Amino acid sequence: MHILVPVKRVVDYNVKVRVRSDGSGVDTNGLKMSLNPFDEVAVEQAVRLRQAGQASRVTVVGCGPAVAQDVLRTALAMGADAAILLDPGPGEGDAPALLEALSRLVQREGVDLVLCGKQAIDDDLGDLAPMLAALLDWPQAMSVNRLELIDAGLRVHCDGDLGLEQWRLPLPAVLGVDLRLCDPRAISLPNMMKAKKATITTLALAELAADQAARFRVTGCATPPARTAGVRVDGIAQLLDRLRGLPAFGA
Amino acid sequence: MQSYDAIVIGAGVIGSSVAYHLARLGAAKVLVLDRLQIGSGTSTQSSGILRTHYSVIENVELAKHSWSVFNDFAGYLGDEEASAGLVKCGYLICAPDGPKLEPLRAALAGQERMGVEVRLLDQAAARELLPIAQFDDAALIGYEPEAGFADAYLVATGFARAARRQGVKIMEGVNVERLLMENGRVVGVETNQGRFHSQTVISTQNIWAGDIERWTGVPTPVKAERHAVLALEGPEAYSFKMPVFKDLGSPGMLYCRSYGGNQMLVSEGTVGETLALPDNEQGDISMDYVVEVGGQVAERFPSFGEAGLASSWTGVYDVTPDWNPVLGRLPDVPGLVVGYGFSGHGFKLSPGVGLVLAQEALGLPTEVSLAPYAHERFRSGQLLTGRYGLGAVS
Repeated sequence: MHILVPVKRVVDYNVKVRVRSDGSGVDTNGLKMSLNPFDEVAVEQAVRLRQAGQASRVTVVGCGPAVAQDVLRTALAMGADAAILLDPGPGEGDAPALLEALSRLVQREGVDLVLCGKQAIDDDLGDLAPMLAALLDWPQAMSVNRLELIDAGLRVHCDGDLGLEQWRLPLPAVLGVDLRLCDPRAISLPNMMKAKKATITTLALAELAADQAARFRVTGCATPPARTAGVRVDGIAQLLDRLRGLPAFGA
Repeated sequence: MQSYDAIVIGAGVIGSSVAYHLARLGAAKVLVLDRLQIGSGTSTQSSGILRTHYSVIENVELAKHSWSVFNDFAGYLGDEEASAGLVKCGYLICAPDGPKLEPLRAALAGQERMGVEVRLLDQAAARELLPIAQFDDAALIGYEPEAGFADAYLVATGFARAARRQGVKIMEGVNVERLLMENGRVVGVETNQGRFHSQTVISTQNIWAGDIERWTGVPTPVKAERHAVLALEGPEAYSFKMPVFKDLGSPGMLYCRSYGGNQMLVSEGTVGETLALPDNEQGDISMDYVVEVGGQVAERFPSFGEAGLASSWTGVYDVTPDWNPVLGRLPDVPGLVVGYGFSGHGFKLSPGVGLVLAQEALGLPTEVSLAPYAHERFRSGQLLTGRYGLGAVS
């Protein structure tokens, strides 16, 4: 079984993000960048499956400029077998183009299972896994917090609207994994040294995606307004009055 | 109009300590202003190492006084709940044959002259204290039993709470925008929350001390320098009983300490990355850097060659040309007392610095002479450069 893990380079969770003064986006200059924690869990799970003999190969794929190689090297140091960087060229790499490229890559590389983080901590969109599953017309499960391979298929536990759901899926499939799935390992110094020397294949996004037309445009970026202090009310009656006055109650 | 006996800018370990000592020495109305929160600037990024080992003898005196406070933090503050988080594990320092050997010998002798207990150990004795390390290259090994590490955030909040108990007012989220001047002297500060008046203002702004230059025109010889810290998870324990270790033989002049369990906190004691603007946000740490430092660690701690990276973070130093602080009055700006430029070794000096800056601000004789730390030294050339060269060991 060949597992593909798409990974994203994001601002580290310990960094308090700041918006560029011209409102064009988030200022990441010189700040700590990391492998998206949800993707890190996906890599860990994939490597564990290979180490348990249930998968034969783990490939990680990222999209971005050359600096994005660092998170691919982190994944290699965790135990991934191969890494591919999709170079979007001068553009930012629109999501539909990336998805088209990923679906081509899945077919080209003979992938049986795509393990995604269920969301990236920068935009929190969580769009990649469901959109990729739709494009491939593969079964999908999101917010997976437990995973077993049985009878040439998958049994997963997911968060659902009504609580914990258990699903059985045939392969191939796309999963979006939650942080609870497993704890990523601390990468070791010898594995870092190996990962430093490993070859990362770079492919032009345009090579894999015919349709490069940008469908998204960032119109602005702003810091959320600071929260105002709470108020003390005199009693239940006043509290209910205040609650009824909230917009959600149609006031 | 709000008027105070003294206003302290900054509530990190230094500012909180100054505020506490002002109150302890009798100042009735003290105000502390912090742009964010107590200890939230560079204090919390400290590795927390406590030692009196210095090649600059003046620092030994300040560090020795400070150690006595850390060693009885609750008693000193009169607050039985106060804790500095002190782990008294001692401090081991070694140098191979080479340029660091004589400076180490001289610094250890200097400590002894100052009444600090130091022992010279042979390699076997050093291995007994720190069995996870090898000392085959060590030509001289010094051990300081009264040393260790503590928690800078606990110390900042401990001083702040003790200061508040003595009536000091600490306001968080207040940004000082300029000094108020009248007839050439300081009479207060203007902030985003209005004006506060005092004939005495004490700036403890660390990497943001460049504000002083903008406000007064007096140069602030400080640059912000980012340093990375790694927590490595080894195959064997670096226990709390094992000493802090300074490796003068490694290219990065590494310092290491226990970080609990099998984890070692390690960082280089040399020059870091200079930032164009002061900023304590977390900086990027490349895999190349981790591998580079990890290689140095493995030379000294062979089993840590297999270590994993448990976590990593960055802290920012306010570095002066001689890696030592500027303490005292700025002669050109009557009413202003400054403490900045701690160059990565301010935490271990913070109780003593708080005391002497409070004494200076109140016109009292200072426990330790401030003359060597005067701003004037950058004009006169009487620098306090340590014998180990540039770096926080000073």
